Amino acid sequence: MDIISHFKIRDRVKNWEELLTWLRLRVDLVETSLVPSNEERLRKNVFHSYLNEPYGLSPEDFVFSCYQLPDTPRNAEYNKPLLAANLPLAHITFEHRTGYFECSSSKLFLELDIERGITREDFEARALLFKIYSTSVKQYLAHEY
Amino acid sequence: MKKFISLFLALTMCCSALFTPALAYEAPNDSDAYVDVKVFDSLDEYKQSLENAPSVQTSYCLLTPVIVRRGGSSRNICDIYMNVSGDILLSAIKYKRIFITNGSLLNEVTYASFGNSKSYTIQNFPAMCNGSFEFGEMKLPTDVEYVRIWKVSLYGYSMNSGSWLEAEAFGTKYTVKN
Repeated sequence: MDIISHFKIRDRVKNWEELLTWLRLRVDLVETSLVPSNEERLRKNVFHSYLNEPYGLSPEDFVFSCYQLPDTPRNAEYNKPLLAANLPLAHITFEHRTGYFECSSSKLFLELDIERGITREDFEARALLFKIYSTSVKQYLAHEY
Repeated sequence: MKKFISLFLALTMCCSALFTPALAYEAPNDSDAYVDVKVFDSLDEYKQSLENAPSVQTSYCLLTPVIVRRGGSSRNICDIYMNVSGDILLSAIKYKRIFITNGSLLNEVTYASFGNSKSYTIQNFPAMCNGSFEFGEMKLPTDVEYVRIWKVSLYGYSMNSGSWLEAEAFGTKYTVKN
Protein backbone atom coordinates (compact mmCIF):
# COMPACT_ATOMS: atom_id res chain seq x y z
CA MET A 1 0.00 0.00 0.00
CA ASP A 2 1.38 3.39 -0.99
CA ILE A 3 0.80 5.34 2.16
CA ILE A 4 3.31 8.11 1.48
CA SER A 5 1.10 9.62 -1.22
CA HIS A 6 -1.52 10.20 1.50
CA PHE A 7 0.88 12.11 3.74
CA LYS A 8 0.24 15.82 4.20
CA ILE A 9 3.79 17.11 4.28
CA ARG A 10 3.87 20.73 5.45
CA ASP A 11 6.38 23.43 6.32
CA ARG A 12 4.77 23.46 9.74
CA VAL A 13 2.00 21.29 11.13
CA LYS A 14 -1.46 22.79 11.60
CA ASN A 15 -2.12 24.28 15.02
CA TRP A 16 -5.27 23.65 17.05
CA GLU A 17 -7.16 26.65 15.64
CA GLU A 18 -6.48 25.56 12.09
CA LEU A 19 -7.64 22.07 12.96
CA LEU A 20 -10.77 23.49 14.55
CA THR A 21 -11.51 25.49 11.40
CA TRP A 22 -11.04 22.35 9.34
CA LEU A 23 -13.27 20.45 11.76
CA ARG A 24 -16.10 22.98 11.61
CA LEU A 25 -16.35 22.43 7.86
CA ARG A 26 -17.03 18.73 8.42
CA VAL A 27 -19.03 18.38 11.62
CA ASP A 28 -21.40 20.19 13.97
CA LEU A 29 -19.65 21.23 17.17
CA VAL A 30 -20.77 22.44 20.57
CA GLU A 31 -18.20 23.85 22.95
CA THR A 32 -18.27 22.19 26.37
CA SER A 33 -16.43 22.60 29.63
CA LEU A 34 -13.65 20.39 30.86
CA VAL A 35 -14.69 17.77 33.42
CA PRO A 36 -12.64 18.61 36.54
CA SER A 37 -11.61 14.99 37.15
CA ASN A 38 -10.38 14.88 33.57
CA GLU A 39 -8.28 18.03 33.75
CA GLU A 40 -5.46 16.70 35.89
CA ARG A 41 -5.22 13.60 33.74
CA LEU A 42 -5.04 15.72 30.58
CA ARG A 43 -2.37 18.02 31.98
CA LYS A 44 -0.24 15.02 32.87
CA ASN A 45 -0.77 13.51 29.43
CA VAL A 46 0.23 16.65 27.55
CA PHE A 47 3.21 17.17 29.83
CA HIS A 48 4.54 13.69 28.98
CA SER A 49 3.51 13.86 25.33
CA TYR A 50 6.08 13.91 22.54
CA LEU A 51 4.29 17.06 21.36
CA ASN A 52 5.50 18.89 24.45
CA GLU A 53 9.13 17.95 23.86
CA PRO A 54 9.96 21.01 21.71
CA TYR A 55 8.30 23.35 24.24
CA GLY A 56 9.09 21.80 27.60
CA LEU A 57 6.00 23.39 29.14
CA SER A 58 4.79 22.65 32.65
CA PRO A 59 1.39 21.06 33.35
CA GLU A 60 -0.04 24.38 34.56
CA ASP A 61 0.90 26.08 31.27
CA PHE A 62 -1.61 24.17 29.20
CA VAL A 63 -4.89 25.64 27.96
CA PHE A 64 -7.72 23.41 26.80
CA SER A 65 -10.79 23.76 24.63
CA CYS A 66 -13.41 21.01 24.56
CA TYR A 67 -16.06 20.26 21.99
CA GLN A 68 -18.78 17.69 21.59
CA LEU A 69 -20.32 16.41 18.39
CA PRO A 70 -24.08 16.58 19.03
CA ASP A 71 -26.32 13.84 17.70
CA THR A 72 -27.04 15.35 14.27
CA PRO A 73 -27.21 13.77 10.80
CA ARG A 74 -23.97 15.51 9.90
CA ASN A 75 -22.16 13.88 12.80
CA ALA A 76 -23.72 10.44 12.36
CA GLU A 77 -20.68 8.78 10.78
CA TYR A 78 -18.68 9.56 13.94
CA ASN A 79 -21.35 9.13 16.60
CA LYS A 80 -23.07 6.02 15.27
CA PRO A 81 -20.21 3.56 16.02
CA LEU A 82 -19.81 5.03 19.50
CA LEU A 83 -23.50 4.81 20.33
CA ALA A 84 -23.60 1.24 19.01
CA ALA A 85 -20.83 0.38 21.48
CA ASN A 86 -22.66 2.15 24.38
CA LEU A 87 -20.09 4.92 24.43
CA PRO A 88 -20.86 8.64 24.81
CA LEU A 89 -21.20 11.02 21.85
CA ALA A 90 -17.91 11.95 20.22
CA HIS A 91 -15.94 14.68 21.93
CA ILE A 92 -12.62 16.37 21.32
CA THR A 93 -10.21 18.20 23.57
CA PHE A 94 -7.52 20.48 22.12
CA GLU A 95 -4.52 21.85 23.99
CA HIS A 96 -3.67 25.25 22.54
CA ARG A 97 0.08 25.53 22.93
CA THR A 98 1.29 22.08 21.92
CA GLY A 99 -1.47 21.07 19.49
CA TYR A 100 -2.12 17.94 21.54
CA PHE A 101 -5.65 16.61 21.15
CA GLU A 102 -7.74 13.67 22.23
CA CYS A 103 -10.82 12.55 20.34
CA SER A 104 -13.18 9.77 21.38
CA SER A 105 -14.10 8.96 17.77
CA SER A 106 -11.35 6.79 16.36
CA LYS A 107 -12.12 7.78 12.78
CA LEU A 108 -12.11 11.48 13.55
CA PHE A 109 -8.96 11.11 15.63
CA LEU A 110 -7.14 9.64 12.64
CA GLU A 111 -8.54 12.25 10.26
CA LEU A 112 -7.40 15.06 12.55
CA ASP A 113 -3.99 13.50 13.00
CA ILE A 114 -3.55 13.14 9.24
CA GLU A 115 -4.84 16.66 8.59
CA ARG A 116 -2.41 18.13 11.10
CA GLY A 117 0.31 16.83 8.83
CA ILE A 118 3.97 16.11 9.21
CA THR A 119 6.84 18.53 8.65
CA ARG A 120 9.29 17.89 5.85
CA GLU A 121 12.00 17.66 8.49
CA ASP A 122 10.19 14.93 10.43
CA PHE A 123 9.29 13.17 7.21
CA GLU A 124 12.91 12.99 6.16
CA ALA A 125 14.16 12.07 9.63
CA ARG A 126 12.06 8.88 9.60
CA ALA A 127 12.03 8.99 13.40
CA LEU A 128 9.29 8.71 16.02
CA LEU A 129 6.95 11.33 14.54
CA PHE A 130 7.21 9.65 11.15
CA LYS A 131 6.33 6.31 12.71
CA ILE A 132 3.33 7.74 14.54
CA TYR A 133 2.09 9.59 11.46
CA SER A 134 2.58 6.53 9.25
CA THR A 135 0.56 4.43 11.67
CA SER A 136 -2.34 6.89 11.55
CA VAL A 137 -2.34 6.95 7.75
CA LYS A 138 -2.04 3.19 7.53
CA GLN A 139 -4.87 2.61 10.01
CA TYR A 140 -7.09 5.12 8.25
CA LEU A 141 -6.55 3.64 4.80
CA ALA A 142 -7.23 0.17 6.20
CA HIS A 143 -10.48 1.48 7.76
CA GLU A 144 -9.14 0.36 11.10
CA TYR A 145 -11.18 2.70 13.27
CA MET B 1 13.48 -15.32 17.18
CA LYS B 2 10.37 -15.63 19.15
CA LYS B 3 9.26 -12.32 20.52
CA PHE B 4 7.14 -11.94 23.52
CA ILE B 5 5.86 -8.58 24.52
CA SER B 6 3.56 -8.53 27.46
CA LEU B 7 1.24 -5.83 28.61
CA PHE B 8 -0.08 -6.14 32.11
CA LEU B 9 -3.45 -4.56 32.40
CA ALA B 10 -4.27 -3.90 36.02
CA LEU B 11 -7.84 -2.80 36.45
CA THR B 12 -9.02 -0.49 39.19
CA MET B 13 -12.39 1.18 39.07
CA CYS B 14 -14.67 3.60 40.90
CA CYS B 15 -18.30 4.07 39.98
CA SER B 16 -21.90 4.70 40.91
CA ALA B 17 -24.83 3.86 38.70
CA LEU B 18 -28.08 2.23 37.89
CA PHE B 19 -28.37 -1.49 37.59
CA THR B 20 -28.83 -2.45 33.96
CA PRO B 21 -31.34 -5.29 34.08
CA ALA B 22 -31.43 -8.50 32.11
CA LEU B 23 -28.65 -7.90 29.64
CA ALA B 24 -28.40 -10.99 27.48
CA TYR B 25 -24.76 -11.13 26.54
CA GLU B 26 -22.73 -14.11 25.46
CA ALA B 27 -20.20 -15.33 27.94
CA PRO B 28 -16.57 -14.70 27.03
CA ASN B 29 -14.99 -17.74 25.44
CA ASP B 30 -11.76 -17.55 27.42
CA SER B 31 -11.67 -18.47 31.07
CA ASP B 32 -9.13 -15.83 32.14
CA ALA B 33 -11.26 -12.96 31.01
CA TYR B 34 -11.84 -10.81 34.02
CA VAL B 35 -10.15 -8.79 36.71
CA ASP B 36 -11.61 -7.55 39.98
CA VAL B 37 -11.50 -3.83 40.53
CA LYS B 38 -12.02 -1.47 43.44
CA VAL B 39 -14.33 1.50 42.96
CA PHE B 40 -12.85 4.81 44.13
CA ASP B 41 -14.83 7.75 45.42
CA SER B 42 -12.24 10.28 44.35
CA LEU B 43 -9.01 10.68 42.44
CA ASP B 44 -7.21 11.33 45.73
CA GLU B 45 -8.25 7.94 47.03
CA TYR B 46 -7.01 6.38 43.82
CA LYS B 47 -3.67 8.17 44.07
CA GLN B 48 -3.16 6.81 47.58
CA SER B 49 -3.67 3.32 46.23
CA LEU B 50 -0.84 3.82 43.74
CA GLU B 51 1.67 3.62 46.56
CA ASN B 52 1.08 -0.12 46.54
CA ALA B 53 0.98 -0.46 42.77
CA PRO B 54 3.17 -3.15 41.20
CA SER B 55 6.41 -2.07 39.57
CA VAL B 56 6.64 -2.06 35.79
CA GLN B 57 9.06 -4.50 34.20
CA THR B 58 11.00 -4.01 30.99
CA SER B 59 8.97 -4.83 27.88
CA TYR B 60 5.80 -4.69 29.86
CA CYS B 61 3.06 -2.14 29.97
CA LEU B 62 0.46 -1.76 32.65
CA LEU B 63 -2.97 -0.79 31.46
CA THR B 64 -4.97 0.11 34.52
CA PRO B 65 -8.65 0.89 34.23
CA VAL B 66 -9.78 3.47 36.75
CA ILE B 67 -13.38 4.32 37.54
CA VAL B 68 -13.98 7.55 39.38
CA ARG B 69 -17.33 8.86 40.52
CA ARG B 70 -18.04 12.18 38.86
CA GLY B 71 -18.69 14.53 41.75
CA GLY B 72 -18.00 12.36 44.79
CA SER B 73 -19.32 9.33 46.60
CA SER B 74 -23.00 10.30 46.38
CA ARG B 75 -23.01 10.37 42.59
CA ASN B 76 -23.75 7.38 40.42
CA ILE B 77 -22.16 8.74 37.22
CA CYS B 78 -18.64 7.47 36.76
CA ASP B 79 -15.84 8.26 34.35
CA ILE B 80 -13.76 5.32 33.21
CA TYR B 81 -10.13 5.93 32.32
CA MET B 82 -7.31 3.65 31.33
CA ASN B 83 -3.90 4.42 32.75
CA VAL B 84 -0.97 3.33 30.62
CA SER B 85 2.53 2.80 31.99
CA GLY B 86 5.56 0.90 30.83
CA ASP B 87 7.99 0.99 27.95
CA ILE B 88 5.73 -0.10 25.11
CA LEU B 89 4.45 2.75 22.92
CA LEU B 90 0.71 2.17 22.86
CA SER B 91 -1.57 4.04 20.44
CA ALA B 92 -4.89 2.19 20.48
CA ILE B 93 -6.94 -0.57 21.98
CA LYS B 94 -9.62 -2.66 20.37
CA TYR B 95 -12.12 -5.07 21.83
CA LYS B 96 -15.27 -6.95 20.97
CA ARG B 97 -16.78 -6.42 24.34
CA ILE B 98 -15.83 -5.05 27.76
CA PHE B 99 -18.40 -5.43 30.48
CA ILE B 100 -18.57 -4.64 34.13
CA THR B 101 -20.37 -6.80 36.67
CA ASN B 102 -20.71 -7.20 40.43
CA GLY B 103 -18.54 -10.33 40.25
CA SER B 104 -21.18 -12.60 41.75
CA LEU B 105 -21.49 -16.08 40.26
CA LEU B 106 -24.99 -16.71 41.59
CA ASN B 107 -26.59 -13.30 41.23
CA GLU B 108 -24.62 -11.59 38.53
CA VAL B 109 -25.51 -7.98 37.85
CA THR B 110 -24.14 -6.28 34.75
CA TYR B 111 -23.60 -2.59 35.35
CA ALA B 112 -22.30 -1.62 31.93
CA SER B 113 -21.25 -3.12 28.65
CA PHE B 114 -19.18 -1.64 25.84
CA GLY B 115 -18.75 -2.96 22.32
CA ASN B 116 -21.20 -5.01 20.26
CA SER B 117 -19.56 -8.46 20.74
CA LYS B 118 -19.31 -9.04 16.98
CA SER B 119 -17.03 -6.45 15.44
CA TYR B 120 -14.17 -4.60 17.08
CA THR B 121 -14.58 -1.28 18.78
CA ILE B 122 -11.33 0.67 18.36
CA GLN B 123 -10.15 3.54 20.51
CA ASN B 124 -7.20 5.56 19.24
CA PHE B 125 -5.34 7.99 21.43
CA PRO B 126 -2.06 9.92 21.27
CA ALA B 127 0.76 7.36 21.34
CA MET B 128 2.06 6.96 24.88
CA CYS B 129 4.23 4.87 27.14
CA ASN B 130 2.92 6.66 30.19
CA GLY B 131 -0.38 8.46 30.40
CA SER B 132 -4.07 7.72 30.26
CA PHE B 133 -7.04 7.87 27.98
CA GLU B 134 -10.78 8.13 28.41
CA PHE B 135 -12.49 4.80 28.01
CA GLY B 136 -16.11 5.75 28.61
CA GLU B 137 -18.66 6.48 31.29
CA MET B 138 -21.16 4.44 33.24
CA LYS B 139 -23.69 4.51 36.03
CA LEU B 140 -23.12 2.51 39.19
CA PRO B 141 -25.10 2.36 42.43
CA THR B 142 -23.48 4.47 45.12
CA ASP B 143 -23.05 1.49 47.46
CA VAL B 144 -20.86 -0.46 45.03
CA GLU B 145 -17.22 -0.53 46.05
CA TYR B 146 -15.82 -3.25 43.82
CA VAL B 147 -16.63 -4.41 40.32
CA ARG B 148 -15.39 -7.14 38.02
CA ILE B 149 -14.30 -6.15 34.54
CA TRP B 150 -14.57 -8.74 31.80
CA LYS B 151 -13.11 -8.55 28.35
CA VAL B 152 -13.82 -10.35 25.10
CA SER B 153 -10.98 -10.14 22.59
CA LEU B 154 -9.07 -7.18 23.97
CA TYR B 155 -5.96 -6.02 22.12
CA GLY B 156 -3.51 -3.16 22.43
CA TYR B 157 -1.68 -1.67 19.43
CA SER B 158 2.06 -1.59 20.02
CA MET B 159 4.04 0.84 17.89
CA ASN B 160 7.18 -1.03 18.94
CA SER B 161 6.12 -4.13 17.03
CA GLY B 162 3.59 -2.44 14.71
CA SER B 163 0.96 -4.99 15.62
CA TRP B 164 -2.02 -5.73 17.81
CA LEU B 165 -1.16 -7.65 20.97
CA GLU B 166 -3.81 -9.72 22.66
CA ALA B 167 -4.57 -9.21 26.33
CA GLU B 168 -5.14 -12.05 28.74
CA ALA B 169 -6.32 -11.84 32.30
CA PHE B 170 -3.76 -12.77 34.92
CA GLY B 171 -4.88 -12.41 38.51
CA THR B 172 -5.73 -8.76 38.89
CA LYS B 173 -3.95 -7.88 35.65
CA TYR B 174 -4.10 -8.61 31.96
CA THR B 175 -1.16 -9.93 29.98
CA VAL B 176 -0.72 -9.20 26.30
CA LYS B 177 1.55 -11.42 24.23
CA ASN B 178 2.97 -10.89 20.79
